[in-house]
Amino acid sequence: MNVPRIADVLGLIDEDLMDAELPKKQRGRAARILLAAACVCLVLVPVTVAATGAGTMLLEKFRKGDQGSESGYDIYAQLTPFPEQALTGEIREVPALIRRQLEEATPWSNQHPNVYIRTFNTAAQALEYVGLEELRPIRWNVEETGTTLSVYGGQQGEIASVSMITQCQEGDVRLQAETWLRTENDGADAIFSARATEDVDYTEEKFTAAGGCACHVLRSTTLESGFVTYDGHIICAGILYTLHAAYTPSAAAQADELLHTWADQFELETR
Amino acid sequence: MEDEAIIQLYIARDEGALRETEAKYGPLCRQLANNILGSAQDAEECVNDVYLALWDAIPPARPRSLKAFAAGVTRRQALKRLRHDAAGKRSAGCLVPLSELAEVLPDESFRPDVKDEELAQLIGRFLKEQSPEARCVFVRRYWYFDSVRDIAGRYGFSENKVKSLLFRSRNRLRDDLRKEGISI
Repeated sequence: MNVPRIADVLGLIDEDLMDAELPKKQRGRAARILLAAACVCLVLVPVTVAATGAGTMLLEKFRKGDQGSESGYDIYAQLTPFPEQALTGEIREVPALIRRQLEEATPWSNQHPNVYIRTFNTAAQALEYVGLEELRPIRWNVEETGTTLSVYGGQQGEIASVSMITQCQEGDVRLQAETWLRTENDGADAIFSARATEDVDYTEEKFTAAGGCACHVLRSTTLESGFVTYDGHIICAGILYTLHAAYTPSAAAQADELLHTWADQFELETR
Repeated sequence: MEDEAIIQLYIARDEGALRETEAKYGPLCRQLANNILGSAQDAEECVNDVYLALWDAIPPARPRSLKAFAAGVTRRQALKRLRHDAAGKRSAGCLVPLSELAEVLPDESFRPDVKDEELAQLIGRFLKEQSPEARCVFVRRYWYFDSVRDIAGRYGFSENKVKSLLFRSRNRLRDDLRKEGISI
């Protein structure tokens, strides 16, 4: 339908509907900053929408000057809400720890009391700590430099979502492999946002990895630092896996090979 | 002043009705006109036309909500002016948000039988069934032509949340229209 006619159709809607209003400035949920590298900031934001369909979808991309001071893109990801009881590892101690953080929180605390953060030497240790059967370990020959686990809790300490970010380095390619899952306590799918403070364009690519999973890739143009970045997104068994890489153009082939090596480890399955 | 009292002033042909309307709903009308016309000066002229139209319309009209009525008149006046100007030189770039809806509403070449009134009724019914959040965000974006940033600021949402609410609403609207036998 053409735009002028849409404007006319909407003008015919019962005007009483246009009178409806929400209280202004309800408190929004805070964005969770999970990852920052090479001037590109990646943020996962939970959103309160019902789930239909599966996978990731590019909602919007924009360049500096289009909408303000940042370039970036937003991807919608539909995740599966796991029962909190499905997390069988030591993570079950976290609700009590978050409740304590909430009790002891002061207005000048640096850390958000709803978030429990712990670091591990390896991704495998973090996975064991979470203890969710559906989690897929990444087996590849890259040097890990540590994994940060963030557990996001609700007001009673209940686990809402879990993020694990593993830092890696392979030659001239810097990598961050991220895993994001949510539980039944987080009534939200997620929007994955990437932001850069400079004028960057993104190209969208998709490919099917060896295991049958669709990999959704957003690749940046070269940043002022000389680095190029990509974010590869895969949803496997209802969990979002993202590989962020920053590399010099001369290491592009190596970066692409790492992307495919990473993506090929996920197998298409239904829960 | 309460809407009913302002409407009584219109009915009594008391010019105070215009002053009260300006005081209560002037900013709303000006903002809406500016969203559509993209020019403060044009918006000001448009709002003056709106007051004249309200003066002519009430009575016989006796709106249940003066706010919605005034906003409706403003929207029509601004779109009329935009179309007139677009025939000349002005770009109708402010209507870009509506192109998002073009993907979910039926194309007239495929469904010439679907009347605007019928479609408006279905969309109105759809909106009434939505959560207050989804409904208000939809209305602010596609009826008031607010930017995503303005909507986020208005309700204290993140821009991502606004985009997602709109995205999901469009999908649900498309599904609802399909159930009614109207697909693109």
